[in-house]
Amino acid sequence: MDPEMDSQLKIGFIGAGNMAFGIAKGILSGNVLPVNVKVSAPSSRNLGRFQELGIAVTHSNVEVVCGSDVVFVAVKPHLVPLVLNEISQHITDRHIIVSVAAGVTLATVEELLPENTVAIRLMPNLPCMVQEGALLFARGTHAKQEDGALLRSLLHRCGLVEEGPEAWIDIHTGLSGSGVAFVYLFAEALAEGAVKMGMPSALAHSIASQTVLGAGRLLRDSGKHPAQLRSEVCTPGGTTIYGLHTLEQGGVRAATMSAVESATERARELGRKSAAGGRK
Amino acid sequence: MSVGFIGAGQLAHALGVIATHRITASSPDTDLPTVSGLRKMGVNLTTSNKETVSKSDVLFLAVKPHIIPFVLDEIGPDIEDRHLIVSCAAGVTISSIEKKLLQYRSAPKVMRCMTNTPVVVKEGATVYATGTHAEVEDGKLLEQLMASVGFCTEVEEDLIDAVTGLSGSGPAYAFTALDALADGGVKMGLPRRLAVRLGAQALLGAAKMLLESEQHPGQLKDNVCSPGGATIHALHVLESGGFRSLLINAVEASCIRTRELQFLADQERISPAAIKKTTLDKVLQQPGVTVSGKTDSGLV
Repeated sequence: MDPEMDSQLKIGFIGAGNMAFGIAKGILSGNVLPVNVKVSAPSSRNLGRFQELGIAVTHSNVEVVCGSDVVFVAVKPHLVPLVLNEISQHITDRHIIVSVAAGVTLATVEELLPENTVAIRLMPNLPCMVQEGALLFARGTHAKQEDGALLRSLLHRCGLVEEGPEAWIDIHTGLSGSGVAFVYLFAEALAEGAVKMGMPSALAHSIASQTVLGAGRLLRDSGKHPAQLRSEVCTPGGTTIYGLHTLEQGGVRAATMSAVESATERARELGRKSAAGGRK
Repeated sequence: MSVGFIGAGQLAHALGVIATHRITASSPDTDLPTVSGLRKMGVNLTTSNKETVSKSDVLFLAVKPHIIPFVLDEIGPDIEDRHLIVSCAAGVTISSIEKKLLQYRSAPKVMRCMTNTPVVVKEGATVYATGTHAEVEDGKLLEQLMASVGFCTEVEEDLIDAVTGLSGSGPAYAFTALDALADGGVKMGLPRRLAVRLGAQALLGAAKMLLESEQHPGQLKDNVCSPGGATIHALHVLESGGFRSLLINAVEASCIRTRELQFLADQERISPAAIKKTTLDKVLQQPGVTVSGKTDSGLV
């Protein structure tokens, strides 16, 4: 995308939580200048860290909308209808509205905003905060390819950015939104295994987290299939294959598949509920 | 170059397909079902192990492991420099065979191989280990022979137990899987014969794809699984049942049992209970055959 255009672009955030912060950091490490970014939140509690980045803050959602081209709606799902009602009359055809709210469908968003509004639904995940997020977006009815491309270029410093049909967003939630927690569970269990074997807890945790990080980087950067990488670690009759056998006996694979399935099903269910609630 | 088999059972029958060379096979028991099969292949059958030895250059020992020491004592005096002894007995070490034969020759050429039943359709999986006095050329010769009936490669002797667990027993795992897959097909409405045919072809095709591909089987699996499709649902069921760990356990169990058998075989003792009296009688009737003078052989 055109870096000059990026630097002219005005970005707004309604909501000042972790997701908004992570995305803001990512955007600023590109071509967008802090002076062109504004954040609103009802209380000042979370605004400090935005100010530290040179971003203007306010308590007025309308102010953010009027002063921005791209608006990230990053409030809790149950507040979305309220916020959209509030800002609706200020939306023009230059705006791109990006909803980051879990479980809130594009249909709901589009219903609450003027006809022809360009809306995009974005599902980030927690590691956006350290610029290692996995983000999936789905374009709304009036969002064109260029709008998707613009969003992609804004977000590319946040981590991995991909586009997909809206149906994939719930799966992404299960895989990568919740998936982060599954990894934390695994890391904790790794550490506990080490503690059981006699290593002090703090050291075990620190090594466990580095192991997860290192393995993750190798996986991402090697381009190899995880099964291939796994085979490469397993020397014949060695420690790893023994450990893996124990994992297989514990049914870890099936449990993990089921976990993604449960989380996805729940995301779908929540989406249905919110759609039902949002209807006037 | 002629090939001989001591023992005319399943293994001799399976390997008898290496029929481009003159083959002799011997067994005291001419009632074995495999014997007629061997005859049909044009194999020269005899009840005399000595005759087999004299007519062969490469001599396969295709008898049950606990019979090996007995056979070695019998044929020991007749082994000559030209002979290459290839033992196919599970769990019988090269060193135990060499130890026996060193009583008769100073440098007996011994090799050990582990093969599997699909040699009968020329898709065997064979490994061999080379003994102290066997040369590299002897290994190459054996490899050439066995490569004519499938895959063959040399390994370190201490891996042979693992090979037994994997490819030795492997066909049995496959037959079990195929039987069950066919059941699945029948349950969902297929006629049995068709179900068996399709199941076997599916595994055959998958194995062939893997052997001809550079890709990891995990990748090949992914290539079959369309998102949200039938296959990934089925795979989840397999994973939930501990499919992978069962297979790992099976290979491990077979390997461990092979090691146990090796331990038993190394004892060098055969109890009278292990050999049929009628068989023993027939062997002892052979001219020039005497039971080894060692009283601890356990034979009466």
